[in-house]
Parts: sequence; structure tokens; C-alpha cells
Amino acid sequence: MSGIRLDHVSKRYPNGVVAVDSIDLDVADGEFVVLVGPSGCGKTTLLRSVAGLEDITSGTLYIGGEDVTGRPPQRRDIAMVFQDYALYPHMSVRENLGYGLKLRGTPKADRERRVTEVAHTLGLEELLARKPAKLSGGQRQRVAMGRAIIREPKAFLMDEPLSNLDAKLRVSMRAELSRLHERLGVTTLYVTHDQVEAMTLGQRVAVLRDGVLQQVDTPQRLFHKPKNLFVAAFIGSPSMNLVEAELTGQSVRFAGFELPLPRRSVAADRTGKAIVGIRPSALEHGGGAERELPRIGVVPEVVEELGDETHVIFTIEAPPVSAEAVLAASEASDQSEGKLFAGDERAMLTARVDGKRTVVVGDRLELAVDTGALHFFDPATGLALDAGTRTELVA
Amino acid sequence: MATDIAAGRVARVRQRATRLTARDRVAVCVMVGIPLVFVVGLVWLPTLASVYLSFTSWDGIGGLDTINWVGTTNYDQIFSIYPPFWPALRHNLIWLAFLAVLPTTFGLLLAYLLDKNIRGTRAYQSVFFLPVVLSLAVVGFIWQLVYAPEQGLINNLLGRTEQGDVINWLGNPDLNLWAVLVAAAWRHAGYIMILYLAGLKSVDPALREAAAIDGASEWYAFRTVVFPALRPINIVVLVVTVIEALRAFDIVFIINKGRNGLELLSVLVYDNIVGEASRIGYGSALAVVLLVISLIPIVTYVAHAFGRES
Amino acid sequence: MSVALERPAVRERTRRGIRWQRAGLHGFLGVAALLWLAPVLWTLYTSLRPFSDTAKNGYVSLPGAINFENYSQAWSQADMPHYFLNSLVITLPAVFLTLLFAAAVAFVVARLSFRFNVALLILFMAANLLPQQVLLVPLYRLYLRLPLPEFLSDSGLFYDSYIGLIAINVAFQTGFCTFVLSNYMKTIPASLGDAARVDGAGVLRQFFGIVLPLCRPALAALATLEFTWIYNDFLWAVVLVQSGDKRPITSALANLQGAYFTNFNLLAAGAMLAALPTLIVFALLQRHFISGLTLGASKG
Repeated sequence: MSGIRLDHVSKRYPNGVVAVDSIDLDVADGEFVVLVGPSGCGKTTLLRSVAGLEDITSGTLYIGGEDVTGRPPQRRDIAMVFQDYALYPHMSVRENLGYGLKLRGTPKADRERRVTEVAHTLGLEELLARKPAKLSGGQRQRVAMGRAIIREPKAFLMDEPLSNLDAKLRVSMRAELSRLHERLGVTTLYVTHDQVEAMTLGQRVAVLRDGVLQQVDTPQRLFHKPKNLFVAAFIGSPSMNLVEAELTGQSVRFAGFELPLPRRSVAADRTGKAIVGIRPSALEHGGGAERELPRIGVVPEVVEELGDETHVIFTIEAPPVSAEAVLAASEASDQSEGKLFAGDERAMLTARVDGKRTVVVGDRLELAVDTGALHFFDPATGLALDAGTRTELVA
Repeated sequence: MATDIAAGRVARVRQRATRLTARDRVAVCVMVGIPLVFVVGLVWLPTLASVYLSFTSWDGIGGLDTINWVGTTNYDQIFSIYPPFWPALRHNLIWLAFLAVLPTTFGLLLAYLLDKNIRGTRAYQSVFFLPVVLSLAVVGFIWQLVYAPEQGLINNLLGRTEQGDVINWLGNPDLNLWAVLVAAAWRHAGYIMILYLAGLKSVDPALREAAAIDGASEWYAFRTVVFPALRPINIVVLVVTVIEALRAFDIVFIINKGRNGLELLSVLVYDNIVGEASRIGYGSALAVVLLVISLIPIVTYVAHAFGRES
Repeated sequence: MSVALERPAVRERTRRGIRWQRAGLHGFLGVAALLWLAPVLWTLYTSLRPFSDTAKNGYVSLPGAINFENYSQAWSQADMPHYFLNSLVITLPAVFLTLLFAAAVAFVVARLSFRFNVALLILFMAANLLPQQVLLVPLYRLYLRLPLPEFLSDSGLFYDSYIGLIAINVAFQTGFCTFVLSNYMKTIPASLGDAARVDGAGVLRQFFGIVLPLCRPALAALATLEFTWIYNDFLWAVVLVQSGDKRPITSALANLQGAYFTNFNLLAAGAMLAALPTLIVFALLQRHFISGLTLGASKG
């Protein structure tokens, strides 16, 4: 049985800072799990702890079914791919690939054979004699992958390996990584701060904030059923629109709008204050949407035409949500971050409409709201309202 | 997700077991231990011993049991009745002032001019830097040839080579310190030039360009933009200059063993400890005086180097 | 119309102005450079003239003859090869050991995190900045008492032995090199060390196999600097080695001066010969020398 299991793993630094807070995580054999979160959330520390590069303060770590807590990195049977690839600059590609095997005492013939195999798989045969300085970014990345593959470890640990590539290369490499995983089927724990990468690569995604696991789920469920404000604000691009609203039992009221809720809505029959979340994709151009959906009238301030889709950015008569979780998700230190001009106190929302529609800045526009796809959160706890619990909301 | 690992639960603390294997620990001990033995044993312990000895009187010949404690007697004597002390201290301070003013600024000037990358920069750099690679003893020799009363370069060029008419550069106690200082400056300027050249290279060119666009004259730009940006180098230059001034020994020793106007603290120490009639306590006290003065640049440098670190 | 006439004149003026500036610069630098070289050129000149020539015509005169007489005399009579050998025997091992020790300590301080790192670094650095005289007394007495096995030292003591000189030079110079190397090693990405650890490399392997090879530029620079400094050392040799027999060349010059103090030509030749290795190193490796000094000054 392979896989990685973290059992109440915590890491506390001598100065008291808790980087990883009692994490339970189960990566099944052959699964590709992505750890994602804003910078400083502890994801890299967690990965390095799994690798053995950092000590765990408490908890147990299992790799391939064995308790490896306390073992040095070389005895955990893992391979790691670093953000800057960490290729030994003074060694050739061939020597870089074979270094780990050499240190383990693999006989030379075997080593040579494996190096040739891996070089062939990754298309590195022409580059074997070169030094890393003479390789392009993509080539270096492949050598870094090769170094990991060649050892046939129980698990791969990857620390933002794509973030040093330029945008287009990153996209194509993502696909390559997926294919590689299909082929090799090795348990992988992958760290990134880019939620798009997380959603596209991960079979499951673990969202981390300040060392605490927020939610571990498939990308689909994370997107459609975020458990709290942080996950809701973090996952999805453009980000989910969040507004403070009031529930009346049959409708939700905010910024002068009142939208009736469908019977099956989670917020039906509830009253009190809540935070409503509307994905930009849940706002459609009024002209093409179903008749039953309620409309809101807005005045677009910024129109971003991307061809396939158009982002319409508008303000509403309500202040932006100042919940800590939301700020943390956007990596802002306070409300004024991300604002060029001071003094604008109104929330800015984004709608994603069909690119074929014409939208003009300043021209009043009707947007249809898919009320069945609304999310609701308790402002006090930040947790998503769900059908099961019926906690009282503050009136 | 559970977040509480606090009170009530026994936290199993992992040692740095994953960090270093036993083999690694031994390796680290050896890697640090052996150099440490050298540095502590041959540098720091002798320093501490010197401080101790400065409060004793010992002739160095008898065994360790002949050392007797005399408190601050040595220091009292040095400051009051030891004839060469005050002149030596004065000379060291003059040495420091001279080096800090003349060759240092000249080195800065040279660096600034050579930084313009005119043709032949390399060659000029080599010429000015040459004296730095020479041993101070060799420097002493070379300048003896220049200053020799009857056959020296200067006197012959000045035409003062007749017996009664010579300028005794090295023999005249009023002149010889300055003559030697010229030699020391000759060497020091090159060293400083190199340091400032490196410093100038690290000044962001955008700063100078911005100043030029704003209309600053070259001198003004230097004074207000370039020189302040050189602050870290200035500190290094200052420390190096002070250390060199306090260390001065070789040149003077080669020329006349440090007498007759060329007394320096370093030579006084040497005089008191080498030879048959040695006065160890005395020499140590002199050395400690030197040490205390040196602590100023040492502490400055260490604070500077490690202040930036954190 | 007037504008068109003005512009070329202004441009020409500035171009001429720049040319004057450049000329002035070269003039100043040229004169300064000549003044700077004068003492060395004078020594060289004197060394090439036979004693008889200068005795007849005085030193400041056109040469009657130019030859290497003085050099061969200094070489044989003053026993130079012997002293050169002494210098080499002392300098080369000292440079090697200094760099090895410094690299080892720098590695521990820069790549591993221990609580004592900063204190250690300060201890080493400051050791290099102490005035040598403060060590003289106890070191002298210590060396007179510390025994060495017969085959390592003729005198049976640290005093008056090669090992003694090597040891103090190493102890004294290690600090500077440690500081420079630790700064340099800090620029090697931490991920390289991590990758090596994951690959299974222990501390020694990381040191010799990964970090040290990557320090080649800094090591070259320091080797050049240290060779020059240790070769040029004077004080330790004068105090800690007694017989003329074991003295390195720089301090042996003092003997030379004592014996031939009126024969300036011979002295000049001796000084040039003594300076020769450093001059060669300087000519070939100036780049490294300078980078060594600047590495030490600009702290990372």
C-alpha cells in the first residue's frame, strides 16, 4: 500500500509561530493531490516536512504505509522537484540524473541504463552532456523531473515546479505533467499558489490557510460547494462576488436589489444577515437568459473583452465585504490594497457574460442572476450555510 | 478541521533527528573543531594571555612561577616615565590621520576617474595597484633607495648630495616620519582605489542618470548622490585605514628598527619582548594599549557587517 | 535661421570640451602613474647597474653598463634559492590549509543553521583584525615551549620551525577567508542543498561534492590574496624564527641589508628578486586579486 498519510501533523517554530496546525491528510496510492493557498499559508513547510527537510513538532507521517517520522530524507524513498529545479550547476545532465543513484550505491551499469531510459522518456538524449546553464527553462524542468523519476520513489513531492516558466510554457507543461502522471501513476503531492493550476492538475485539492486545512475535495466540489468564505473567495477566477445581504425567508436583499430564492435554495426559510456569494459566471446577459431568472440593473464601469467571454465590472450601492477571510484569500493586507484611487467605498463586482454580446461602459445593462447557484455564508463564522444545520443568523 | 493542539495533549517533540545523522554530526564537529582549535589556541588565548601578562612583571626567562602580579604598575610607568611611549602614540595617530586624509581621498579620486572607463583604465589600475602586492619590507627597501642621503633619487634630483648639504630624509627625526608616511601612502592609495572602484560599480547607474537629467553638475552629483551611496564602502575603507595605521611595523623596522623619530607602538612592543633582557609585562601592556585602540575599528566593522546581516 | 546656425556650434563646443577634458584626465593620470612607478623603476634601474658603474658615476647617471651581475650575485651570495624555498614551504601549505579550514567553517555557518553561527563568525573575523603585536608575547613564549616531534622540526619546538610559521599564518588568516566564503556560499541556492539531501548526500558529500566546486571563483580570488599576504608576511617570521636558516625570503632581506648595507645595487636586486613571485602572481592573476579584495569588502 502506497500513498502519503499525515496524522495530526503540526510544525511549530521555536519562536512560537505555528506553520502547520494539526493536519490530517490522506493521499491515496497513485493519487495526485495539490496543496494550494496564499503565500505564507504553510503549504511549502508542509511539503518540506513530508520530505524530511524540516522536522515535525508533533504528529505522525506515513509514506508507503511506513512510519517515516524522524527519518532523514534519503530514507523516505521520496523524490522532490524544486521551484528553481536545483540542478547541480557544475555537473552535466547525465551526472545530475544519476547523482541520487550514485549516492545509493547503484552499480554503474544499472545507473547508465536507467539514465538512458529516463533521458529517452523525457526527450533529453541530445542534452546529456550539457551543463544546466546551457539549457532552456523548459529543458531544465524536464531534467528536474527526470531526476525525480529515475529513482522510482514511492512518492513525488513538487514545490511549485511550474512557477518559473513563462505563461504559455506553463500551460503546456501542465498538460505534460498530467500525462506523465497518467503514465507513471506515482503518488504525488504538489504545492502551488496558483489556484488555476491546482484545479487543472489535482485529482483532489487541499486548500490551506495559516497552517490549517480548510477543505480537501475534488476541484468540482471545491468550486460548487466551498465550505467557507475563504475557500469560496480563493477558488475561481475571476473571484466570487461577495456582498453582505439580508435574508427574508423567500428572498435575499442587498444593495437595493431583492432577488427571490428558489424553494430548493439553502437559504430558503431563513432570515437574518448573511453574506451572499455570486460567481461571475452566475451573472448572465439579460438578453439571452431564461425568463424566470431575476434581473438586476447595473452600469458597467469597466468592460474587458476577452473574445470568448467578456468581463463586466460594475459597482453596487454596498460596501465591499471586509471579512478577514476574504482579505486573506485575495492576499490583501487591508481594504485599500488593489485600489489606485482612494475614497471609493462601494463594492466592485464582476460578471462573466457571453463574448458575442455587446456591452458598453456607462450604458445601463440588465444582468440575469442564477439564483439557484448562489452561495450563502454566515457572517459570524464564515462557514457556508447548508441544508443540514439550521444555526440562527444574526438579525 | 481540528485546530487545537494546545493544553491537555502531550506534544511529542521530535529531535533534530531528521536533520543530521550521527555521521553528519561528527563531520560538523571536525569541520568546525579543528579550525577553532587553531584560531582559539593561537590567536584568542594569546590575546587573553597578553592582557593578563600586562598586569605582571616577568623577564620571560624564568618559569611561569616567576611571574608576579603588579597590578597597573606597567600602565602607570608607560604613561608616565617610559620615554618612547608618548612619541610613539603620537606617531601612530599622525600615521592614522595622514593615511585617512591623503591617500584615502586620492584613492577615491583615482577610483572616480578610472570608473569613467577611459582608454587604458586597466593599465592605470595596474600601476596604482602595484605597490599593494609588494611586501612592506620590499617597500621599505625601495624607498630607502629613493631617500638615501648621498645616492638616493630625491637628493640627487635636488642636487643636495654634498656632505654638509644632504637632506637626511630618514635620519632626521623631524623629517623621517613624513618620509615614511609618503611610502605608506604610496601603497595605501592603491588599496583604497580598488575598494572604491568596486563600490562605484555597485552604485545604481540610474541614480546618476536621474541626477544628470535633473541638471546636476558633476561635483554636485558626486556630493549628493554618489558619495552617500558609497556609505558601506566608506565604513570598510575607514576600518581598513585604521587597522593599517595601527599595524604599521614592517616599513619602519626595515628602515631603522623604529628609532630616532620613527617610534611606533608596534615596534615598542617588539623591543620589549624579543631579546635577552625582556620586559614581558611592559611589552604586554603596550600591546594591550594597541589592542584597546584597535577595538574601535574592529567593533565598528563587526557591527556593520552583522547589522546588515539580520 | 539663427537656430540652425547655433546648433552645430554648440555641439562642436561640447565635443571639443569633452576632448579637452579627456586630455586633461589622461595628462593627470599619466603624470600620477609615472610618479607612482618612479620608485619601482628606480629600484629596477639601480639593480641593473653593476656596483663599479655606480661607484664611479654615482647613482643618478646614465648607465655605463647594464647587466644582471647584481642578480646573480644576490642569488648566489645571499643564498636566495634557500630562502625562496623556505617561503614556498611555508606559504603553499599555509594557503591550502587556510582555505580548507575557512571553507569548512563557512560551510557550517552558511548552509547549516545552528545557534552559534553568528558568534562563531565573529570569533573568526575579529581574529583577523587584531593587531599582530598583541599576540606576539604569549605566542613567542608559547612557541618556545611547545614541543614538536623531531622529524617535523629541527629545533624540536614550534619555535624556529616551518610548522610554527604555517600554523600562525593559518590561524591568523582563516578569519578573513571564512567571512568571504560564508558570504559567497550564501549565494548558492538553498534548494541545491535540499536536493542533495533528498538525493542522500551527507554533510561531507554536500561540502566536497556540491558547495566547494561552486566556490571556485571565490577560492581562486582568496588563494591569490592569501598567497601574497602570507608570502609578504614579515612580523611572524622575524619573531618566531630565529636562525637565518629557516627564514622566509622577506625577513631574510633584513639579513641582506645588514651584510651589504652600502651596496645598493645588490640590495635593489635582492628586493626585486624577493618581490618577483608576487609580481608574477599580480601580472597573471590581477583579476582574482582584485575580486578577492572586493569580495571581502562588499559584504554580499
